[in-house]
Amino acid sequence: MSLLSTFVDNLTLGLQVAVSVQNLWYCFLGVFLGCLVGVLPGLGALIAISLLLPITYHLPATGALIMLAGVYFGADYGGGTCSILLGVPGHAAAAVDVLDGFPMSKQGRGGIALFMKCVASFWGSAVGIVLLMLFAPVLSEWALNFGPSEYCALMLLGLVAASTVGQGSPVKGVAMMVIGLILGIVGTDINTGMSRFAFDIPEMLDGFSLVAIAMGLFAITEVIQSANSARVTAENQSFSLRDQLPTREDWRRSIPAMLRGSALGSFFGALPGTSGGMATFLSYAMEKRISKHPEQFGKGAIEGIAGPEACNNAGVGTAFIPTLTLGIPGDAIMALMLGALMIQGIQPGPQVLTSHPDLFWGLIVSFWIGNIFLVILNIPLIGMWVRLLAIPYPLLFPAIVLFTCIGVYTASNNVFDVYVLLAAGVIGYLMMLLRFEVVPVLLGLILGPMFEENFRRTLLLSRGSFSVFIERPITAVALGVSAFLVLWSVWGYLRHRARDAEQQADAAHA
Amino acid sequence: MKHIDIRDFLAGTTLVAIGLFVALYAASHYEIGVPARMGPGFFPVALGWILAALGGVVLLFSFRKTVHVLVPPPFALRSFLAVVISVAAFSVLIERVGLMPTTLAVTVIASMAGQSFKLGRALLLGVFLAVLSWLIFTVGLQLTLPPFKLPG
Repeated sequence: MSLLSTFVDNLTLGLQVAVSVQNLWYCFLGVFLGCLVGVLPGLGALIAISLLLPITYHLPATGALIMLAGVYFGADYGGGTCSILLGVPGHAAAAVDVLDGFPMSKQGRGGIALFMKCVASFWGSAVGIVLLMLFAPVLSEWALNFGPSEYCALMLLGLVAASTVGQGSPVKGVAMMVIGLILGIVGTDINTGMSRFAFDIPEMLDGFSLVAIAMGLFAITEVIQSANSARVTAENQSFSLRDQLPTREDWRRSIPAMLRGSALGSFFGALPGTSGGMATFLSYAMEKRISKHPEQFGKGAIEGIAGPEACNNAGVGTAFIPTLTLGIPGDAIMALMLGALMIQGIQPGPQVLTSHPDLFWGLIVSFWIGNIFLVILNIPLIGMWVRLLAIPYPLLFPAIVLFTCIGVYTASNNVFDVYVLLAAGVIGYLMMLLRFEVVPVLLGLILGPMFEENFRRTLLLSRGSFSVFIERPITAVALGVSAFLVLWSVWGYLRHRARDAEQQADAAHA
Repeated sequence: MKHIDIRDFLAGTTLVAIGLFVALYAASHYEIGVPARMGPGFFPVALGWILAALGGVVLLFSFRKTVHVLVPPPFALRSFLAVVISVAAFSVLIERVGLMPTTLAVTVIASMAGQSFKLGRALLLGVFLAVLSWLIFTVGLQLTLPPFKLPG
């Protein structure tokens, strides 16, 4: 009974926070801008969040997080629009929408595909948020007993998972993660006050600006890579509400797919390293296998949109569980969220829920509000986004470069950060040519200082004995899983599977 | 005949070099300490050696007989230069001439990254973005970004 009443109390608190005029505005602005960037081809949630991160420097903590979460949801809703109408993935997670969405669009059923995508996204988000509301308090209470060794091991698990699962070479992934950790060292050592790798440059005493590195690695690299590629632009399509209404048959086929997709997505979303499209392709494959008409897949089967979209958005909600309760992000987007928290002076970890309940519950309620905004933006107002797709890319990328520069500069009013941006962009592009993943670098950079701190504290408490890492059960399990992931992915790589994947990626770039 | 995968070879060499640099620099400049009381050098030295070892593995694999010929994606020189110069221009100009002229310059230079560059269109876009960024950042977000400045 008391559990229920605390739950109601928490929700009331969340409502009070989220329904303030200011936070409603941040939420709307977040989903709107997220949708705007997400709709554009090639630009996904990661770039949207890096572009808007500097703006949140100037907002209060809750408002900043509400806006960034809105951007994440918005970019996810928007990404599918581009996939369905142009046949070009808005971003990796929406790539699967191309398979059946684009054929539907060519059959003149694009409006229905967009509608169903939106419904499926909303359903998925709802499932994910409910799970977050239920599990986050439990998990964070449990995690309050964690010592530094547990954090150390869990962080390592997060880092290893993100750098090995579903990428090209696991060795290169881990190497990139180590580079990120090394970049995180730059600056003043908090234990001794000694400056490390600062080379007498005063700006480097504070370490590298997260915003500059993220924008360089993602936004600048993306522009260099794609500025010259020919982009498809949408034919002028108009959608009235009537064009968008699915038939009874469409509903009958989509609803079970959504249920399955959201279950799959909820599970994978909470695990580190598995987001970014992998789960959506699993969902697609599952729908195809279950379907009585597998031959329709790829030719406009509506289940092929409903399932993966629900899966994708359910994963967005559950991805916040480890991020907010343990302070351990599962992917680069969650790492940026964590970065935003730290910029606001909030130390991530299980204490966030107890020491900042207004932030946590306000954020949750704003997720609901944001998703309702998105349904309104994406069903009755879909025409606006469709017209946006007609903007030619040559007008778009100079604007991205410009806003990246202004964003980085204004975050600290320091030209040095623009140099960092430039260097990160150049290195990011070269890394792409050498087939390195940039995402692990960012994770390493964000988690590096926390990891070192906990590592040092663990060994201080154990008086230098490394056996502490196998004596504590949670620590041992997390380290065991990390080791397993490394071995498993190396084994898989040696069986040429990943190498083939790299060649396919090269072929796709060519 | 053995083929060397040139990209993995370069990648591996770079990683080994960075790793060794980090480890040796940290070892010679910062105190390492013992596990129970780690000095500021412990973590960087460890990471440097790990990175060098991983680089070694990548290097080793680049000598492996490759069955397929790998075609690297072409280096987009034009886009690369245009984007790099435009960001560099931003860093040079922003504190000297103010937001709006900087915006114009950055936009025009960045526009050259695309194949279909038209000066008139780029200038128009630059003016539009200059007004837009002034409205967003100086007026809207109230940041200290003066729209114009006299150089000096």
